[in-house]
Amino acid sequence: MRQVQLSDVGYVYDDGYNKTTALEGVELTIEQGECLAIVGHTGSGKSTLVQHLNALLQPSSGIVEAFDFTITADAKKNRKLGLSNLRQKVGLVFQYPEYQLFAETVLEDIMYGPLNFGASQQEAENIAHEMMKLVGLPNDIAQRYPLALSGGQMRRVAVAGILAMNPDILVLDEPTVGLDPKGQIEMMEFFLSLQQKLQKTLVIVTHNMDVVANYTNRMVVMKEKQKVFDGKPSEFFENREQVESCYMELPHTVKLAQALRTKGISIPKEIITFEEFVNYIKELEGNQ
Amino acid sequence: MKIAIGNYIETQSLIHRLNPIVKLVIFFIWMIVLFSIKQLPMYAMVIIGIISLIRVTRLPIKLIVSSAWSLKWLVLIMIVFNLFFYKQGNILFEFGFVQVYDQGLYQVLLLSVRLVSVVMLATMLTLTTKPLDLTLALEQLLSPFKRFIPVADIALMVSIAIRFIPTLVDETDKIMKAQASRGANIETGPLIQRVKHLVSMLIPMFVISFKRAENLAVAMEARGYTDAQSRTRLIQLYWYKTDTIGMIVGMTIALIFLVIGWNI
Repeated sequence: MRQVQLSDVGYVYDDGYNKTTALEGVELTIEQGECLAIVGHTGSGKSTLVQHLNALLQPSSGIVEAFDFTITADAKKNRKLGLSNLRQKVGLVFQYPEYQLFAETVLEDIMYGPLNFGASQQEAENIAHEMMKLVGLPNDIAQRYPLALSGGQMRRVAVAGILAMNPDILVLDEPTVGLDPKGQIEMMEFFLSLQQKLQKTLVIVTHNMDVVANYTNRMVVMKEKQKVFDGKPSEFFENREQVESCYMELPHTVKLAQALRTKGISIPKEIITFEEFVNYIKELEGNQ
Repeated sequence: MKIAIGNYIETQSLIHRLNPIVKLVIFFIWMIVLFSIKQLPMYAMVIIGIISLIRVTRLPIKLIVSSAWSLKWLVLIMIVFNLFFYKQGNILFEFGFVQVYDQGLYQVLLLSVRLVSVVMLATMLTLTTKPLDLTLALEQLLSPFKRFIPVADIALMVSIAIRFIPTLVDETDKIMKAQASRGANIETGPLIQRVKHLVSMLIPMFVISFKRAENLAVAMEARGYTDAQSRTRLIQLYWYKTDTIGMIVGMTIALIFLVIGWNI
């Protein structure tokens, strides 16, 4: 099922003196249940793009269709749409989401979203407890002050705060940045389980090509305000020139495969996840 | 987001290149002169002078006029109060219980045009001078009082505050968007709700600002900062011949206005 469709979307930042174009003619369709990575170098427009998904930004040109909402460049019409309801359906987790924590207790902070979208106090509390369990927070921190927690725990609280709204699409802006390697893997595995068990759509904005290679099956590449690639990650990484022209790096598996190829061990180009890679090597060993 | 403070616009005009000390001193002298002028016709000359100065700075005239336009409510309130309470001179006309006196009208016009001129000049000052240059100039001008007040520390504090305005504006924007994603809405809904949502933005802003201040202090100390008094400056203000000329021209203009004002 199609959840979001962007047609010829452009966006111009206007501070009264300067106009800066941030997006140009972007076409994008997001289907339910897919796991999509949006990558691009700094200033390529990827953050601007994802803010269109829950109408934090409204297009300067073109049309954004998200669920039942049709958002155009007409600000007056958009105001009548009740766009805050779209924000319940598309949960946006910002970079360093721990900075959005403000309530006196962890529980209250997680309850903030559901309460804003019409849940009763009791419902919100139940949801919050459920979410704490889901993101793996121990129940005894429910009454603690969120800003006194460790970095990893604070991020879990912030993510739980978004998940508590029960969004259909989860947009994650650099979800692993600032976490230790173990925390990064745990976080990504957690998001992936949401996609697989609850059929949530995942949109991940990242600079980390290993995340792209290991966890996503579709990749959108932004370069200088425009979308330049949309397809399988393995196809993008095949074309080294394209990767470099987008100021991107290759994932570790692809680099290793290339190095092995120069030594005469051929590895198929479709293999880009760690798991596939290890299995393939084991198979090779078994054949010898 | 629009912010008025520190809105420096580079047009590479003569005025831009002037030493900020000159601009600051001339600005204060002109202010004093402006407030000593008591004849309305003189202000026609002042306005002509300001407009020609805008031409010299090559700034868009619209920008400076719009800064004066932002005073419209203040001027309106002044006019209303003056018409009600100023009861000297001859009655010009009256409707109902309101009597308009000629002197009252004259006074309020004088006050308004004075205010507008000062704001236009101040706008020009900040548009042509980088905020950090202004604090530097202020520091140098106040340096004779070093013994009594910590001039250098205050200047540093002001320049850090100015430096962080855009950063905090960005930060605010981010937090507002993050909370809007969780359903916060400060534009519609009952007042208590809106205040509650505002708190959800204010607390993270405080947390972030304190964190930033702490990091900055540590970073400064790590690079050997002890106090501002004993420091020398990387960027020095140099005094060129054009600055002397600028000072003389500025003072002469002030003098001409004063002399004409006395003689009328």
